[in-house]
Amino acid sequence: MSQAEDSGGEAIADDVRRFILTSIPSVPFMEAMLIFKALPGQPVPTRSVAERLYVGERQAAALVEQLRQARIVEAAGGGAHRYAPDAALAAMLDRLALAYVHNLIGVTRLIHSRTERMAQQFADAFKFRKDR
Amino acid sequence: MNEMLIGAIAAASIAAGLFFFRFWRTTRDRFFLLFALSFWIEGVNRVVLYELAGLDDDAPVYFLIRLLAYGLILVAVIDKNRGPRRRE
Amino acid sequence: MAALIYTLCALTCATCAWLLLRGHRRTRFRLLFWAGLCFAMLTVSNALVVADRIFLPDVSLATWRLATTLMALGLLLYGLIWEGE
Repeated sequence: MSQAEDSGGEAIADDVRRFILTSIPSVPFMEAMLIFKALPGQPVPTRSVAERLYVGERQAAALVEQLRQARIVEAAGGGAHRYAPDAALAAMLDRLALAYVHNLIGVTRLIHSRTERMAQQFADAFKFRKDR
Repeated sequence: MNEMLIGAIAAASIAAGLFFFRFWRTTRDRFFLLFALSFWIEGVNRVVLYELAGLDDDAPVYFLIRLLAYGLILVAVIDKNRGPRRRE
Repeated sequence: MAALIYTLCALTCATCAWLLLRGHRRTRFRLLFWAGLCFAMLTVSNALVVADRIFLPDVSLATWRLATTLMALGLLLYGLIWEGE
């Protein structure tokens, strides 16, 4: 088993790493995203999310709202939402989901890493062009 | 009063530099090393040069060192926007 | 010469402040807000050096300059210590 400091599995690509640090605020957020992602196009009620994550409905609602503001899900009426990211975001989320499978420890470490998150945010602000 | 402010500024500069130094250690992005050095140089600059030159900002050594400190920040910003992503 | 260099320093700080506050506007990361404010105040501090030398030779703005700088660093440290999410 690899003893590399960074990961318990495959290395995480730079752009996925950056996406995690700038766009994935917590592990429950990640798990909620995966729930919606597993049922693309289907409306998923918030109650289901709460049950699957073993959290209260209010916390589930907060997570769904975060996902909605991140444009990962959209409202589907009747208190339900569906997975609806645009193409670029969907591609990144696909890669993120793969990384989560192949390197759970590495991804969760990044999600929890306050220092790396702050550093990434600070450094990103100094890029003149957004795509760099 | 001014001495107190200078001492506080030096301490705060060094502390800020420490945060950036930690960012560098975690990410290996030399952008942060440059910021750390910049803040540290400014912090030490204040204390040392206050002893040597008082508050006279006209003393060349004073503003030359400040130029160096801010120059490091400029280098950091330019460097970040130039090459492809390189983590060292 | 001194005025030129301090003006350059003020411009550097202003650039950093602009980048950070623009970043905050885009991403709502609060660290960028505090850091942006820090560099904005450092811009003022550097500008005050120039003003002190050129426009107000008989009055010393030293205490104001130092206080501004200290407040700027205080804001930066606040952001670095508190904002982590």
